[in-house]
Amino acid sequence: MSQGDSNPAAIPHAAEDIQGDDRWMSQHNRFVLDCKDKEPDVLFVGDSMVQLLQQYEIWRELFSPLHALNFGIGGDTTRHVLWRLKNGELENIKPKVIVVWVGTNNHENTAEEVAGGIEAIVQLINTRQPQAKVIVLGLLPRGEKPNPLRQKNAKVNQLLKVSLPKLANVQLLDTDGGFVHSDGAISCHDMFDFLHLTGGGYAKICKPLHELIMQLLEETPEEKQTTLA
Amino acid sequence: MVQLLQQYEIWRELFSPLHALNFGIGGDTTRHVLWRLKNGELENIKPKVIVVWVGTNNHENTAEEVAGGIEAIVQLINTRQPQAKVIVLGLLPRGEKPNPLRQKNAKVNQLLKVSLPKLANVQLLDTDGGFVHSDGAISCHDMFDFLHLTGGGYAKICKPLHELIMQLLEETPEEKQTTLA
Repeated sequence: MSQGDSNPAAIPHAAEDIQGDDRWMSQHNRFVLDCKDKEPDVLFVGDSMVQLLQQYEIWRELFSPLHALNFGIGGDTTRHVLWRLKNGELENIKPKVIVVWVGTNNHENTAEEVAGGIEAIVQLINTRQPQAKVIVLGLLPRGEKPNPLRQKNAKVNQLLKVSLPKLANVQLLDTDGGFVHSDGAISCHDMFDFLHLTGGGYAKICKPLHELIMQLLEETPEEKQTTLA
Repeated sequence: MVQLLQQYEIWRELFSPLHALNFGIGGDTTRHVLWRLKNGELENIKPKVIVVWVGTNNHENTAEEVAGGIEAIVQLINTRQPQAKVIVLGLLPRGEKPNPLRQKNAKVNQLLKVSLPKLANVQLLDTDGGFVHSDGAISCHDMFDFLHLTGGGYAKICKPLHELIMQLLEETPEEKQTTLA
């Protein structure tokens, strides 16, 4: 069960403007415009875990120099990301690496469905951006103490560990981050609301992520220009 | 708006030295804040200044109701923390282009401008921030998702806020200890 009508988490869906200020569509439109103007070598796409990263200094230190664009929207599920990627956010660009981080907001789906939604995203990228190497980030644990969502997110990661190797040009980066302490607790110094990362929390994830991206960028055959600004 | 502020460098620069605590929770409405303040978040402390910033998430309420919710918070604080001077921050405009929520938030601020002076020890800080440009647009450089502020966006709000807090702290009569760390 990876895509198509059988998996609800793999059906593209645009967010509805329930609140009245149409922010989701505004953000999507801005990303589509970015695709027309800019030439990213690295593209980040996903939910608030991706979006918030750009607000910290670490983005400017590690990822801006790689000509990275950030297409994260807080609250997004796999369905939203699928819709956005199908509707302009992969047009006019040819990134070498695409980082995908989404799934923690898929509250209406089972772990199997969420994993299937992520696989559908990877397959879409393979089709539209065959040159891009994809990094899927594992879902992080959440909540101050052990709770069902931690188990669900861990299950998604386990499923991806098995399924992603069967797809082309993609790898799973399941960085633990050491967020869960021996007593099962997560600290607000790593996740200020027990879901979203602090600067320190991001540093733990971004170190291995940056290394992997650098590795993949160096492997890129043609265009041996310096990609570092 | 309160919670995220603590994640930026500006918190450490301007507010940590004032021994500030941040009790913001993303998504909260006036109802959530009222509950939290009634259930422990005003116990065992005696702050000189309390900054209140809530209301933009009250989607099920009218502007009048939201203003009333904020007034109720101020009145609760007046009762539990009579020594504290309260600063209520005006609600910011939101959304990339003009939309009903901007009008609603502006209406809340207008109502507070009239009602807050009738309460004790409170003032409204309605900093425009200049977020809305002449074409009616808000930039993602100020609000990365057209609601939440970037570091640059916060700087525009925090400058006048910090000045006002410093002023109020200096006015505090007793305990003339140095409050700056």
